[in-house]
Amino acid sequence: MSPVPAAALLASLAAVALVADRAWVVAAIAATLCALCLKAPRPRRFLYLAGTLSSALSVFLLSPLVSHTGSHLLWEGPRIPVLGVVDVTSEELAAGGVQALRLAAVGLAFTAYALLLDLDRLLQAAGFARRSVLAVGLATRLVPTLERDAAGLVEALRGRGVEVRGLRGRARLLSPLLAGSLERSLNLAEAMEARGFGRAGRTRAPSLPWSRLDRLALAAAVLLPLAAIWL
Amino acid sequence: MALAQVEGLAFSYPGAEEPALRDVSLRLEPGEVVTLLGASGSGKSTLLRALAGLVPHFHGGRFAGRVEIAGLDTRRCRPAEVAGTVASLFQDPEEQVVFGRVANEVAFGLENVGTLPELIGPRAHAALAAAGVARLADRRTETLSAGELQRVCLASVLALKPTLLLLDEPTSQLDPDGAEALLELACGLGAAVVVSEQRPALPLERCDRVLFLEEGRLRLDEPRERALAWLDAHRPDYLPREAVGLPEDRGDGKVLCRLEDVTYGYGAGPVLDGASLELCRGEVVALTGPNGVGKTTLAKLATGLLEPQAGTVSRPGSACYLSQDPGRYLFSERVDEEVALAVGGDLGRARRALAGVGLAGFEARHPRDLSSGERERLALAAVLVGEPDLLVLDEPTRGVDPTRKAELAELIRSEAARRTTLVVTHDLVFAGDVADRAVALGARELVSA
Amino acid sequence: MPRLAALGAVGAALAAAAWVVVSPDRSGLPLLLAAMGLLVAGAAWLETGSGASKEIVLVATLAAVAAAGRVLFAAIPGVQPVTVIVVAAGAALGARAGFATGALAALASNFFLGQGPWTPWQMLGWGACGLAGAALGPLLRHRIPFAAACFVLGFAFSALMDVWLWLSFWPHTWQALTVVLGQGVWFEAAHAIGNVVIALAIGPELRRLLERYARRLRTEVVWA
Repeated sequence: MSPVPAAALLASLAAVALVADRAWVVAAIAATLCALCLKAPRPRRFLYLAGTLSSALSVFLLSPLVSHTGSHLLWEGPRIPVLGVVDVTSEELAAGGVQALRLAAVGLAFTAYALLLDLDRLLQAAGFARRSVLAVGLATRLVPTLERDAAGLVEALRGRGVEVRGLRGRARLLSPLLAGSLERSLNLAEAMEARGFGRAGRTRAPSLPWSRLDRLALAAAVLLPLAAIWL
Repeated sequence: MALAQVEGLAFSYPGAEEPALRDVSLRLEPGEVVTLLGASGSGKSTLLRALAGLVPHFHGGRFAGRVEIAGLDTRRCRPAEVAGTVASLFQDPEEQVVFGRVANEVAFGLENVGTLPELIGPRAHAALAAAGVARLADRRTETLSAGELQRVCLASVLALKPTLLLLDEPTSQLDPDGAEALLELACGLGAAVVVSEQRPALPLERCDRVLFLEEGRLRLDEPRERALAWLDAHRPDYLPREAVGLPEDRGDGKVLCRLEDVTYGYGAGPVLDGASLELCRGEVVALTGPNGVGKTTLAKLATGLLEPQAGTVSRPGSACYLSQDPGRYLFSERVDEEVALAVGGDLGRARRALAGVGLAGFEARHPRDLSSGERERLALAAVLVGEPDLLVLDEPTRGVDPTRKAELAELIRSEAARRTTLVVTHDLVFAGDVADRAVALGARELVSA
Repeated sequence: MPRLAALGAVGAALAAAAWVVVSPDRSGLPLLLAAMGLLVAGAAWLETGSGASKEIVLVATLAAVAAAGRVLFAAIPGVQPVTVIVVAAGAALGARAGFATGALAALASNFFLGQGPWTPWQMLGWGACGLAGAALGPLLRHRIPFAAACFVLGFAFSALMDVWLWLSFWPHTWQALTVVLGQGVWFEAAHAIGNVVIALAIGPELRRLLERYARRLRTEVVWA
């Protein structure tokens, strides 16, 4: 799927989740996004999801304890300094649940985009802010190279019989990592200029035409907020 | 009509004491293949960059003389403007690739020079096919091997359909077969090619003309036959030599390292399966074989940087490992501190080690200010200072000029009696000079007595 | 054109902020929009800078070092070198480079560690650290002031994240704010202390490295 319609659809889903009042709307969006994320083949998805879901869980569990609204008291706890009397009402639970689902929905929307998106295609599609976009692509592409350099540094030290230990040890690797990367960056800038970077009159490779799915996604992205408002 | 003309070119980098190029003049005709030879630091890279316009616009410095490519004077044109006509391929593919996907990478140059959008896709694909890597078009660049990545860089450059192709040690990351294939491809295109190489055997076979630079001056500018005769008379190190065959039987000294039936894999399957090796005191062993066969893995297992997944490694003494590309891995702000890292800061021992590799007097310099040749010697001093019983050198001749290769072989042999040395190398000529016996790795087995 | 976009984005961000104040119950969306608006403004500001290959590659490389460093330290929760690197970049190379490095580092490292709605805020937070580094530049030549600045910025950064989380998804009571801040207190402490250790180890050294490099960027041709 093309990046722009996909982004539009996910953004619209997130926006609706943030402003909708009906709990079932938010829950439905969160569930859809969750399913979408689980479909992703990348092995990192559990790492990505963990942060979002743990934050959402803490919102659900803890926010009833710190708010004082509602009248259907379910449980009254002890008086804790700072927090006051801890109580849980059903309204608080419901509100906490909705907020947790909102957090989950927005987090999952971002995660879905990151997992399913091809960054390079998005970069291709960008017509404006080319420098920033190029910088993003370049930074992302350089990270694995620098990770290998860092491993190489550790290995070079071990090869001389010096072990890298602890926080200070790893911190001291950053200096040679940076120095080496600066040398690499000069060579890279040179190679870029040797391939014509900086010349006036640059063109852009055509991006793939939008499919039916893309047009549907874009339509859904526009219609969803309208439907939510009307509901 | 000459394709390129250089007249009286003299250039110094900013802050440099010596000029990099002194009064260089030459002509290039369309379609010529030219080999550029010379020691490290002789100005080969500078000359190539001058032909691309990168000198002086990218690097700054003092520029005299004139360089004209296809009618464009580099004094007036920025390198980006000369870029479609001239294209450069550099040594390290990691320092040329900008994008994460191969197809985007190849399209980058085409976009920069203003190719019509509808032509970009077809030309990119044609270039990838010409470079033999069409099947990699949708792959992510971080998953490619060095050889594949260099071919992708070649494709990016070919896509521009240059009339002058400049190659600055493009095969140093590749094994001999890969190097030959790349050079064949580049030289067979019909464009004029200037190739600078430290393994001169390959380009010397197929070039039309040879240039020899020494300390910034052009000492030789002759067609191939006469150039070979000149080299034979004046710089025989640069002539291709036959590799000397090496025996496979091990020596008689005390065994300082023994690997038995070791197996190691990185995930997909074992790289080494049931390999065995014995290294004795006083001998230098060359470990050869194509890329990917497990030479580095075996070397690291011998040193103890990796633990075998099966089998045993016994090593009664200390071991040191010098990785590929050691000039990249420098840690300190002073040369003597860099060497002293291995011996807990003992500057006296560091100074002696530096003298041993010919770097006496360099103690206070900043390691990253050193030239590439000096950095390699520094790295060697840094592993020798600890006087290990087992010394492992991984591809120590990558990018090293022939004269210094001979010096390196001599240095290794002079230190050989005190320890056992394992040299991993593609360079069979160097192996013949430095080693007592050779072990050839092929297809997951060790072929040795 | 970029200036127009920048002004427009800042205007949108202010409007979103006003919406938060007016209707605090559903503040998740406007806060996110405000963050995006500020980022667009930042990108537009960057576009007006020099387009030379060296500058772009430098910022991308610094961000990549910070991102790779973040992955290097991932085993120790809460500790990451990004703040120190970004502050050094701001101090040595100026406001534009400092902001760009911070924002890019957040974006690039999150591709490997996890994107989320916190990404725009991390981009702004670290971008602001870069600006702070540039502003405090002359003071940051020695270990102790550098470490002190990174300590404060560490807490400020964490506080920004927590306040955003609180305003967007938690009940707007100060008890809730206490809980949110308290939840993160270990992370905040680890972040701030980690910053101090790293800054004491290599902060000024990184800055010197970058200043040395910056001199190489300013090349001049002498025609003879």
